[in-house]
Amino acid sequence: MLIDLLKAKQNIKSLFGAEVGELRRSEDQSCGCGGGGSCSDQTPEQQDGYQAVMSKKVSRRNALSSITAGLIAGVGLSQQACNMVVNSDSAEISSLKWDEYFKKNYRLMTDGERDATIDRLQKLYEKRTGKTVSIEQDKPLENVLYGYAFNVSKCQGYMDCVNACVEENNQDRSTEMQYIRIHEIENGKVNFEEANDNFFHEVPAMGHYYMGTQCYHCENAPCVQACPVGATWQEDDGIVVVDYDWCIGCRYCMAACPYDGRRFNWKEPEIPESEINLNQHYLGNRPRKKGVMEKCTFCIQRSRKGKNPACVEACPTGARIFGNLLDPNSQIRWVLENKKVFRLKEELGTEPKFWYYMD
Amino acid sequence: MKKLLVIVGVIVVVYAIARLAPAMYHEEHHVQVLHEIRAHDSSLSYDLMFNRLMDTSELVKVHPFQKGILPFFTQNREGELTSFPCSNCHNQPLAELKAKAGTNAQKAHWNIKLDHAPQNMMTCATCHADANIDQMHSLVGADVGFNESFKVCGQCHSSQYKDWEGGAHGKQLNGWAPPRVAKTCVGCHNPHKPAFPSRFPARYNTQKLQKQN
Repeated sequence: MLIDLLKAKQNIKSLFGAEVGELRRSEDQSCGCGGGGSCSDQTPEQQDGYQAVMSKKVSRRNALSSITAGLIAGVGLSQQACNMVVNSDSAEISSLKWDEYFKKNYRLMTDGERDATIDRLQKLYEKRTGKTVSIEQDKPLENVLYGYAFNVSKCQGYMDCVNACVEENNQDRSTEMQYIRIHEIENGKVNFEEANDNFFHEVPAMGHYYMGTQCYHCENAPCVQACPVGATWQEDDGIVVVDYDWCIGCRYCMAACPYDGRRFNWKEPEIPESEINLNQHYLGNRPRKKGVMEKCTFCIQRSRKGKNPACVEACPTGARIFGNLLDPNSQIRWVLENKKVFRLKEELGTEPKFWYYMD
Repeated sequence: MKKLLVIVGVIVVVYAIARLAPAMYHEEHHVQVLHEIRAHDSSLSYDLMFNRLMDTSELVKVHPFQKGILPFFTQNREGELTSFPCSNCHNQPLAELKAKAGTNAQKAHWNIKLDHAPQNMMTCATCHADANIDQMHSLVGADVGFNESFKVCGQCHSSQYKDWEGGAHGKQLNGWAPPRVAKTCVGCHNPHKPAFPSRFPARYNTQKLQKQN
């Protein structure tokens, strides 16, 4: 028995060339630092970093315990990074989210990357809810510049536009986020400081008139200039859009806008699943997350298909006009040329594309 | 000498920045929307872009009186009337029906109360024809079909009518892209009782009220 053990020990020794505790001797026999002589001549104190580390004596127990510790740490790390347990769904979700986190600004993506991100977003939604959502990427139409007109005489303060906008654009219900504000102003004044935009009585109230405000999609938009990361820009058809995944939530644009056109998600938006609008646009009404800006997009998912924005469609009095400013035969051009129109804060030079007029 | 050169250098740098900065920050020119619009007047063809959202074959085509407005479509009113034409059943002339009625001047349509204008300015006969009960008539006696009732309204309400032809008045049904389909006058206004009742707003912002109170 004992002889066998001794023989085994000899074999092991010959296998590894030396026992663990005999590193130094092996160093003397076969020096690894090229050209023999230099390291075997040196004392341990004189050897440089690599050799000093490698020629240190380490006991078998210490070696085994440190190797085991390393193995455990490695398993823990890989467990964190990738789910080794067989759960393909959550693995796929993590992988989709990982790819989503590292995508670029929408303007800088290639068409392939854009299609890929749409695909990922649609897949994530489907995995979460089981429903199919269609996120479109309709490009701006040729020779189109959208304009909007609001008839102050016609608005009666019904707020049907606000309801339609909230439903169409998947806005947060818990904070009652609204892009549109309807202001009830006393006759004889045009002071928004004294306007009441949270009325709830029979309308129209005597002695008052109503004006609606929202993002005006200015041609010289101060918000576009203020954004430090380029997450908001004006598209070719005049719509000012936000890339929700690029926005860092600094709210400089909110400070820059003179018309209170911008909204911020202070918390994770909550939309009841039954009320979600599944016809979405990447730059429009796809659901946002906490910490990003959003605003009216002239219902980009509708207007780029020739339809009116939800507010225009919903207004029962026909107080809202929408159309193509570059079409000389459009309604909006007729209004601008034949009615008495004005814009708000003209002196700031923002060139909003939202005019007010009276009958 | 050195100081002078430094001052000159600073002036040159500041001047260069002042000239180049607007270009660097994309403020090359102040965009005037209306100037841009006029510069781009061009012929546009939308038909190829969109499927027609509404089927215009059944709709009534309106040829505006005003110059410069393209023809557009409006609702087919006669298609929505349940019992039309009236003469399908009532084949006696109105004069005979009135004679039969005697002292009860209004024997039919008693559920329609005319609340549109003072009695000495407007009666049923102002719009509806005497002899031809299937049509209305204009101020000069010309026949106006129910599909073109807007022509009758436009006689008194000419400014609203002009606005309607241009698109500043009334509701559009087919989006912003041509073909334009507008609601006709009676699509919103009940001709016998046009006043709109007051109502409550469509939403009640509880969050904002909490903040205010």
